[in-house]
Amino acid sequence: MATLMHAPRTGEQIRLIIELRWRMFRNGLRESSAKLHAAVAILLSLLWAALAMGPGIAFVFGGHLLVRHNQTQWLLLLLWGISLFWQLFPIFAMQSTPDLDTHSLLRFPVRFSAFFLLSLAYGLAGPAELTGIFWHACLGVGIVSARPDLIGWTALVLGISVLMNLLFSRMTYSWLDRIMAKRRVREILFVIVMLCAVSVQFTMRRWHEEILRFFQRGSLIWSALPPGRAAAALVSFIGGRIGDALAATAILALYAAVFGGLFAYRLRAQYLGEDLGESPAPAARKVKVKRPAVQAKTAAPAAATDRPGLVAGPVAAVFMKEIRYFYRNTILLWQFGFPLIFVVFICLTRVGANGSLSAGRIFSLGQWLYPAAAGYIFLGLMQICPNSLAFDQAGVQLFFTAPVKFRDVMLGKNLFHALTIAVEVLLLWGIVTVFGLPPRVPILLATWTGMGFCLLIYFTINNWLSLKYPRRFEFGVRRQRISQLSMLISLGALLAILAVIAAVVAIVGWLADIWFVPVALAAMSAAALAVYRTGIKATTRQAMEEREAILKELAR
Amino acid sequence: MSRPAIIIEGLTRRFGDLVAVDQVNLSVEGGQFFGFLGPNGAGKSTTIKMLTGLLAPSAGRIELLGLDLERDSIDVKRQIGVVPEGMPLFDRLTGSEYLNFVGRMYGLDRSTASQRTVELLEFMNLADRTKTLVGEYSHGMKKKLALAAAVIHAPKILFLDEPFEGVDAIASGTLKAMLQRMAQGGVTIFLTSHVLEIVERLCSHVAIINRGRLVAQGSLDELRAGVMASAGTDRAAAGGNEKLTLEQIFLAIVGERDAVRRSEEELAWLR
Repeated sequence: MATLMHAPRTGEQIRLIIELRWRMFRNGLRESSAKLHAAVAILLSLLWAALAMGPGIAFVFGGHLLVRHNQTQWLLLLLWGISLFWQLFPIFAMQSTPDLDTHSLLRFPVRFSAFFLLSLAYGLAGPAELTGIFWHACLGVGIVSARPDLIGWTALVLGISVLMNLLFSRMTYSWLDRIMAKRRVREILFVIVMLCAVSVQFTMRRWHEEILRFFQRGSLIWSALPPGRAAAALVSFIGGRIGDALAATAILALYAAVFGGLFAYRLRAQYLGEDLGESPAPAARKVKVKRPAVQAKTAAPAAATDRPGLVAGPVAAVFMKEIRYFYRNTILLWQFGFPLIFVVFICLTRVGANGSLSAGRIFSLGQWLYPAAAGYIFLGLMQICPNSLAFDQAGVQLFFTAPVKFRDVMLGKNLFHALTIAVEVLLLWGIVTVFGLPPRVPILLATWTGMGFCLLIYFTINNWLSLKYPRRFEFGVRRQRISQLSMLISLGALLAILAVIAAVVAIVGWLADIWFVPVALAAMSAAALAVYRTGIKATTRQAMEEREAILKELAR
Repeated sequence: MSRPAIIIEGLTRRFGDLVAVDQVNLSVEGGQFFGFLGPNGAGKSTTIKMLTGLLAPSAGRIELLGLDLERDSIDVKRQIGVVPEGMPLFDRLTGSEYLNFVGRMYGLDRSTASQRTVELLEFMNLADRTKTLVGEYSHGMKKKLALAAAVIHAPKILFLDEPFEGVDAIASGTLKAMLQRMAQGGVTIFLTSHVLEIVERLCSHVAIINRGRLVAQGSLDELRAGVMASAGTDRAAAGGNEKLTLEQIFLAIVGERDAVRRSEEELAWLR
């Protein structure tokens, strides 16, 4: 008779899972590309640590000086700054910590306590979270260096503040995942966010004085919310008002408990088997299929397909597939819409009598808003272009089994991306014109020719990256990252291209005439076209060489 | 005599130190319904991947329909259909859009792709789900769609890796009938399946691969005769002329005695 074992304790389960993750990481390093990615990740982490160090030092000195000079009321500002960064940075950076893979974990008899703690621990792995904790520690060091007797109380308050921030961010994401699990809801939310983003700017512009006064008067609100309570607790401890300090600490702990409770409630549903993946669509109506009025053909061999150029069937097929994937993917729609919203925001806040932008002379700031915004649009492409096979997932096998050259597949994808950029640049032109900042003809032409140059070089590099370091993306999952190495190379390339264009504009425009800039950029685009043609031809060979790695990553 | 549709010579694939497929030589005549069998990890899927261009061989040569796969890959791929391991589908397309897309990728003109899409969706009983995205299909529906996509361009060779996995009995019967008609029409079908009854019923010829090496190849009768001959007096004494099933042939070739002994001796704690 088989012996039934008791389930392992929570601590043992957590230890096992940590050990599992470590083994997976180590085994993953067997491949040389994984080692390279790990090295890049370490490099980026060091870079990030260096960037976080500056504000960290400021928090040490700030905390020390505020306590020493009895200006502790400003601690509120520091704690709000840390909390806002912690909660908002992942949204603006469009990434966050990786999510716990609940499906694989729940196959085992994992206790809810272990599941909860692991989900919480995953929240500690992101750059915003680590930075937030580091800055809390820096602030603590600053306060304690001025008042060593407060080491215990400071550690208590800041510790609870860290826990509160962590629980709040995990709670927010877990509920957002629940809300965003349905495709239709995501699409509706996308539209609402777009409308809000624009209308908020109108509101701010129209009533910004009143809104500012509201926030200035609303110090009570700032003080009542969790960072305010943390600051109040510290101020009270520093002032020796232990009763007030303990009350503020208790309220802060209560906030943390409420966030923790809401997080646990949401997590419990997942623990009990709720699937937050894409919910199936309602049963489709029975649709009468319309037969095309074409005479049925017997099984005939397929026609020739490997002619290069835009007319080839596969290029058009891939192009159409990309369009369909685009309008069915909220994340891509968001990446398309966000730069335009941002430009509208800039126009609303900076144009006009009080603004800094105006359509003045050729070298006025307003005249260069259009090309600058066009350059900003490229950042949106950063999300997908270096990883353009991401959403094809296992379907990528078709590109290897079908009688097509990979050149045609990449060309179809590039044409689609070029179309989205072209549409965005035209919409952008419309926006700046509506706001009274139409670029003059040479600048307009320079922008377009510069875009041509930029696109051709950028596509050449990113086609190579897409095949070299592919990453599978899932639909409807917000927190997905391209390979960090790809991101680094792609961003570096983009900055280099933009620097070259800026140099050409500066040198040609200054030494000769602004009208020579579009001519120079058009000549550069022609040269870039030759580079692109060589690059796109090489993708067929590269894809065949990399096919094993591509399929391993995307068709898993 | 015409040249075989599939010729494999010295096909080898190494993954580091592991030799997944080792010096496989095989030929399949045109119009044959060919079963490719082997235990888990024997090298079946690796071989199919190499035959369909999804994986580069470490050594050896593949000739399909008289064309070298490496040299004339585009011409070869135009004439073969594949249902690879897993689901090679595009989740964000509808079934109709997907088949149209695949048809266009194989070089069909728009109207032909559209017409065949309609016919295949009706044949596969998927025509009433035209608005449903492929990602929302059930496993069986996806499998049927993958099969439909593999035949939309009327291939001359069809490679099927576990094509009936997850397909219901009714659909499975329809698909088998379709494949048999295709084989009768001259299409070569190269099939792997773990369900030996299916292989026995459909395939006229079989090859068995074990630990990367081809250990048997021929018609079912030839394999039976081979097993009977190697079993010698044991079989003759036991039953004389009884017809061995494919399962018995398979177990005899890949090591029935070892498996039975192991299952008796090991995992005593399960009892």
